[in-house]
Amino acid sequence: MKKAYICAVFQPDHTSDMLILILIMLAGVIAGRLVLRRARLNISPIMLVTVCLLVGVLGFTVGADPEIVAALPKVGLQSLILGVCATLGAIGGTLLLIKLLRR
Amino acid sequence: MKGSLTVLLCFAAGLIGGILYGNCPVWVGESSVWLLYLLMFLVGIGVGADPRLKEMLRSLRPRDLLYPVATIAGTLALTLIVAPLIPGINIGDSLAINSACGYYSLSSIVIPQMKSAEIGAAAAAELGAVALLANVLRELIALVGAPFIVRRFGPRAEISAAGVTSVDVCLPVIRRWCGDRYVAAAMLHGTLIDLSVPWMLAALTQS
Repeated sequence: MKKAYICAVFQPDHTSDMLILILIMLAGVIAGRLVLRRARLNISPIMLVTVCLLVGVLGFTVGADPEIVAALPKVGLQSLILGVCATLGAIGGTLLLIKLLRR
Repeated sequence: MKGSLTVLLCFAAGLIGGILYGNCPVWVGESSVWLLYLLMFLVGIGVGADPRLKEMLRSLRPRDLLYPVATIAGTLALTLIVAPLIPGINIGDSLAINSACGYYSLSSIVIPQMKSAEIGAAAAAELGAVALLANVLRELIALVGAPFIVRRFGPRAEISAAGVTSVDVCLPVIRRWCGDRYVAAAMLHGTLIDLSVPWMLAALTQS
């Protein structure tokens, strides 16, 4: 069966992928602890650039798929409502938990 | 705020670029792997260079295990309420799509594969598009809306909004807007949801 929509952007989808990401982060923690505490390098701008590039690649892969772009008028509204609903529902669930834990 | 707008503009620029270019070279998709590795390394550096690192690790509590549950339950509960009002998509499919909690790559592949025998390839492909776009939107809201969400609802709400991406792409904004003490909790939250999503997708896409 043809994979109709393939998002080429990487997301960790195996335990091994997650482990690699965590190991890389730990390597960064060690580097930060040993080296950069003294160097006092401000990495925030580099992080912003990296996030921007990542999100730009995501946008590019979505836009470059003609089937998704063609389907946008039909699926756009459904996606918008579901995406917003998922986010608000998650926030609501957490706020309720916080309230319950405070009792 | 400026950073959030920049991120949104970059997504829009990428989207327009993709539409104009018309196809996605393999190296563009592969670059996302290295960018994510770089991002995680930079997050690690930021955490490691922070003199309060030990405090951050000690900040994890048993109740941090409850937050992923709240995220998933809240997501599905509101989806169940709103789904009947969405034209052209049924409740079961809406729940399946939103159960991904931001896992756009997996949901956009699994959902069409599981549903094609039941509803046909074309309809399944459309569902895949909805899954992709809805979960990308969730990530973008968490990225761009972080300052507003934290100010209005608190740091835990931002972690929850990010869903599975609280462990990777959204981690820098969580660190920036929620504070270092939430980094460990955000990673735990994202990891547990990441492990849950395949099971939820399998359960919710069964005919």
